[in-house]
Parts: sequence; structure tokens; C-alpha cells
Amino acid sequence: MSQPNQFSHLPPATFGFITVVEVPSLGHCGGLLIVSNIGRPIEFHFTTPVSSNRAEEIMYGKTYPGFLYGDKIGAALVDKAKQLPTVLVTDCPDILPVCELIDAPLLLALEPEGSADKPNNGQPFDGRGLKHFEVHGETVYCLNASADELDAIEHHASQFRKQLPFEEPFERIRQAIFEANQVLRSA
Amino acid sequence: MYHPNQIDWNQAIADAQSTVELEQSWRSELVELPPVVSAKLGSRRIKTTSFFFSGDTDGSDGGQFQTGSVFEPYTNSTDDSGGAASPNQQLAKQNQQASQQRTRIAPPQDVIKLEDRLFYLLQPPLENLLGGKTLEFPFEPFNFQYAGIAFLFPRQSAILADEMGLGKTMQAITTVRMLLRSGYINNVLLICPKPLVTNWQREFKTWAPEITVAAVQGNQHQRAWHWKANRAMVKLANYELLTRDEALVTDPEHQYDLVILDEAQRIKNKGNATSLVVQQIPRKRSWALTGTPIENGIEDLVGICEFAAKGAVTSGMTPREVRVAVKDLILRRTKDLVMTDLPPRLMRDAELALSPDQQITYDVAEKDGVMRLDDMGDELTIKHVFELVLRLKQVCNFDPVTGTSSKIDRLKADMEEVAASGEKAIVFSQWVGALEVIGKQLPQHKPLEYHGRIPSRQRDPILEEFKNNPNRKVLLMSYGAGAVGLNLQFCRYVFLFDRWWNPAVEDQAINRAHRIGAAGSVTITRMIMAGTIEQRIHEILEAKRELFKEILSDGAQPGRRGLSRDEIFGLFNLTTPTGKIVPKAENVPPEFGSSNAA
Repeated sequence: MSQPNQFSHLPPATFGFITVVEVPSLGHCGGLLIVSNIGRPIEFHFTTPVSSNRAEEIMYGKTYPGFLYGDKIGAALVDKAKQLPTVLVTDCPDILPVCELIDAPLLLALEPEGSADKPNNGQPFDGRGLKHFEVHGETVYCLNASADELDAIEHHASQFRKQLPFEEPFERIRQAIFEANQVLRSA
Repeated sequence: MYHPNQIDWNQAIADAQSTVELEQSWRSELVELPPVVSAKLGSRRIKTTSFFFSGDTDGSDGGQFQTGSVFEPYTNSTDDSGGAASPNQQLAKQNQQASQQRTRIAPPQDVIKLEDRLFYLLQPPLENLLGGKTLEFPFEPFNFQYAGIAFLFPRQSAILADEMGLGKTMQAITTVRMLLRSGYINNVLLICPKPLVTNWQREFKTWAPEITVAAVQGNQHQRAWHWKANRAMVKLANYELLTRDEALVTDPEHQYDLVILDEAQRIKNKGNATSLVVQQIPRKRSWALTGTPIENGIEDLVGICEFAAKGAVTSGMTPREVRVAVKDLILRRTKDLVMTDLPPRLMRDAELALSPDQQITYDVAEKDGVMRLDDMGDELTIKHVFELVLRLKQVCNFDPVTGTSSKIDRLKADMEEVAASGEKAIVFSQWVGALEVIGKQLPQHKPLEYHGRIPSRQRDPILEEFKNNPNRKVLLMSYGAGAVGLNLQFCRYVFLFDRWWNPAVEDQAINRAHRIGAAGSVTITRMIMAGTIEQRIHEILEAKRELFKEILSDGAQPGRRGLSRDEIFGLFNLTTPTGKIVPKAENVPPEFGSSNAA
């Protein structure tokens, strides 16, 4: 039996998994899956495919991916969420700007082999304090959280990781988006 | 250079005015403003679609279940005993070591609404649902069993047709457990053959101890009370009760969330009384469990589908059409496919010669019998041939006059070896009388009998005695009583003293011992008297067995498994001076194709 710790009084956390999937010949689809602490789905939101806009690409330059994924697709998704997740998790660095729009810490959990995608080559992100910690051997980057909150976030992340690897809910999102596009296309 | 006093201001103002006019004219004629294109950035609206799911969010039990005895989850167990781990445990370890398996619940084809399809797709993998703190198991299920659970879970209509011994019972119980837990179902009716009721109760206790199970039994008043009572989550009834309690079980006021038929081949004849009752039971979900969905032909599947998915398979469909129709309805796995770690099944055909007494009796019986059949001419029916076959088979077992038997001599010798190696054996026969004779010939092995003449309540203690008493070396079973549902995997030897008509029934008998948890290789000895009717039947059955392997595999053509009328007649060369006898059309005696053995 586990010993009660300083976080045992906390209510069960909910987790929002947000990502953007590229659907061939259609564009970029965003998905937000909010799950319980044991991974059961509570809410799911997805966008219709959004194609890149050439004018925006030129005008936004290097900031375009962050604009499209974070400010547009991410914003549309979090706007629809009825429940504010305790922690928001993404596997997509370009979606990080969404943290400006939601009052929840944002974790960036990259695939182990995806270290090349580390934000700013592992340097603090944009001066906003992208902290990181280890959860079950995986490095997780944290944004939008104060140092005081970090321990609780780490605890929640660790509890979830005992149940499921972080990449698992993203698999569900990808399958659901694929399914939805198939169904909607055939309708 | 001009001095200010020298400027003619009047002239200058006049000139300036003309200059401005000139410029205006020039501008308007020569210099157009460049066109400006404005790009609206970031103004696109993005459409979203949202789904909200209800259910518990904290992973607690929700208070619906009172957990009884709690098993340690396998992943926490350690093997400090030094004893050999069971095959289940061994495989579970391999599972753990292998890359993490994720079994997802795929929505069935008949789930159309996107919301419903996404509901299934967005569930966490089964391994996590089952491995969580709310569901604990005595053993980690095999990967293919997770797949079976994922198959059953979302389906309103399903036929789980795994080969015997792959754990259909466990898969069904686990899925029922999950559905009850998640609140998708509240009441279940499980119908099985009478001898298996206690087996199901045992299995529920093992795999889902918190689920309340009540067997419908007793006299008419007691059964009426059981049918009406709602105190248990699962009601267990046997097929034999259904026709007697038809009004109660088909009461439209009492709808079941799920009805499961075990050994569903019992309703393969869609017109028989039991099938008709089963079809009328008010229910939302219909699952059929059977190791032999096709025993004799496609019609068997039509019968099962009348319950499981009415109209999915109909008479007259071609094999190709059937295959397409059942693609999303039936899940079948064979041991060869999934149980690469299961100990081998060693088939041994003991071709024996009749004893001299048997040979004389056999020759006379065959000659006289065939002559009689020939004399019948057009009056000959399949029943007459069948009677002769049975007579000859009995002679192959024992000489009716002297009682001599090559088979019993061989069995005695083999049993000495079995007993000497500390092992146990099961002997199957078609006839209870033959089993009783065998029993008398093997007193040193303290045989136990398990057949249709043993009352149901005495059967479980017999199995317990056989399992636990090291002096009890042999169990004598009839195909009918011992062919299905029993777990005797501690036995490493099986003898088929005589042959059943249908290889599916023989396979079920063999699989009492050769199943998950088998202690080692299982040796099956099929006794066949050379040059007799048994050998002719054996050859036909072997051809059928090969054909059946193809029935549910891709690209195969479904066919018949039992003996057809022509095959039965073909056992003898029946002719008249005018040519080959063409038998009168008549129903095949049920014993030829059926699993309803004595």
C-alpha cells in the first residue's frame, strides 16, 4: 500500500491531450482529447482539415507553424472544451503558443527519438521558462507553470504515466481523426 | 538670382496656379496610384466538432460492485515457490517482456454513427482497462484473448467460435464483467448444456468473483421464482429448461441486456423447439459461443444466426456470400494460429486386428447384414444401413459371445504404461455399456465413470475425485457427457475406444485434456480395427477433418463435416441385379451428424 504523500489530498486530475495531425490531401486536423486520470475519454474535439495559406506562410515566416497550430487550431479546440483539464499535454512543439489561451500547465512530451524537435534545442523556450523533469525515464517539458506548481504537475504526470505512456492518447486522437474524416467523406 | 523686390508677384501667382493645374493634369493623365491588394491574415474560422462522454472520471469502482475475494494482479505476483509456472504465467511473462501490446476496441461494422464509433476508438487499450486497479485477474490473459474481448465488447451480435480450449469462457466472462462495470448492461442470461452449469459457476468465481450468478434450477415453482427474481447479475440456465419454461423465459416484460448461448451448436437446427424458444427471448445483445459453428454444413450457421444475427446468413446463400456476411460477426482462432506455446497434441492411430472370435462374428454379421440390405431393394432406408453400422462397430469393440477384444487388450497394456509414469487417462466411447465393460477390465486403475446415466449432481464430485485422488488413473467418459466444457488438462492421455461420427465431437473430447494449462504433450490414441467398418469411417472422417480446416479460413469453401447419406451408403457396396441401390430419401438419423452424443 502506498504511503500518503503531500499530494494525496489532490482531487483526481484530468488530462487534455492536444495535437495536430496532417491528413494527406486534406490539410491539418487538430484534436483535443480530455481523459480521466485512468485514461478514459471525457471530451473529444477535432477540427475540420485546415490547409496552409500561402499568403500567411509568407507573412508569418518562421512563426507560421506556431500561428496555425497554436493560435488557430489549438485556440479553436480549447475554446470548445467544457472542462479545463488539470494538465494539457502535447506532442507537437508548434502548438505551444496555445498556452497563452488556457489557464493550465502545458506539457510537451516528445517521442524519445524526437529529441531533434526539442524546442529551441533544449534552451528555455522564448524566455517563458520551459522547465523540464523526468517521468518514468522520459523528459517532459513544462510551460505555463510556476515553480510552486511544478511538483504537483510532476506528481499528476507521474500518476498518469503509471497507467499509460504519454504517446498512447495521441494514437487515439490520430485514429479518431482518421475515422472521422473517413465517415464524413463518405457521408 | 532674383532679388525679392524684383519678383513680379502677380505674374508668379498666376504662373503657380497654372503650374498646379499642369501638375494635376499631368498626375491625372500620366501617374496612376499603384493598386493595393490587402491580404486578410488569420481571419479564417476553423470549424470544430465536439463529443462529450459520460462515465466515471476518477477510476473508482463507482460503488456498483462489492468486490469479494481479491486476487493479486499477475503483474504483482512473484514466483518464489520454485514450482513450475503455469503456461498462462509463462506466456504472461513473455507478454510482459515483449513490446507493450495495445488491444483496441474496434467499432463493429454495424455501428454507423460517428459518435458511437469514436466512443470505442477513444477508449484506452484493453490492457490498461483490465490491468487497472478496478479489475484484477488470477492470470494475465493471452494477447489473443484480449483481442477476443475487444471483439465481443462493442457487439450486439457476435459469434465467438474459437477452437476448443482457447478460453471462450474466460473471454465471455471478462467482457461481461467489463460491460457490467461500465454500466452498459445490467442483467445477463447465460444458457449452456446442463452438465456445464457448475463449470460456468466455477469459472465466474475465478474470473469475476464480484459478479453474482444464480442458476435457474429446482421444481417448477422454484424455477418460476428464479426467472422472475432480479437479485443476480447473471442468470444461468440450461437448454433443457427452456422449452419447459418457455412462457417465463420469453416474457416480454423481462428483457435481458445480454443473452449468451454456450455450445451454441445446440441450436443449429433453427426449427427445433429449443431454437424457437431461444429466438424469442427478449434481449438487446446476442452472443453465441461455439467451437464448431459449422458441424455439417452452412445450415448449422443459419440456425445459430437466427439467434445471434437474424437474417445475416440464410438458406441458399453461397459459401462466398456466407463468408462475406459473417466477416464482422464471427471471430475464430485455432490453437495452431495463436497457441504456439501449447504442448503438442500427438495423434496415434492404433490400427488393430480383430481377435479371432471377433473376426468370425464380424464376418458373419457383415455378410448377413449386407445380404439383408440387398434383399430390401427399394425398401432400403438409411436407418437400415445405420443399424448395421452400429452392430459392426459394437463387434469391433467386443465379441458379443466371448467378450474378447483386441482393443481392450491394447488399452490394458497402454494403461500399465500410463499408470507407471504417474499419469492419468480418459477413455471415450460412444456406448455407456462399453464403458461399463471397460471399467470391469481395468480394476487396478480404479476407473471412474462419467456419462449420461450418472445424475448431474454426482458428476462434479467424480471429476474432483479423478483430479485429486492419485490412485484414480482412468476416467471412462461418453462422448455426449464429456465432450464439452470440462477442463481436464491435467490428463496427458486420451483414448478414443471407438469413433464418433463427427470429427468435431471427437475434437471436443480430445480438447478436454489438450487445452490451456495442459501439463505437457497430450497423446491421443484412436483405436481402429483394420479392414472393418471403423477403418472405412476413419478414412471418410479424416477427409472431412481436412476439409473443415479450410471452412473458416480465407479462400476455403465451407462443406459438410458429418457423413452424408451417400457416404453412409457408400460404406457398403449395395447392389441389386439391376444396378446400384438408390436409397429412399429420409432424414439422416441425428447421430450421424450431430454432437448430441449419448
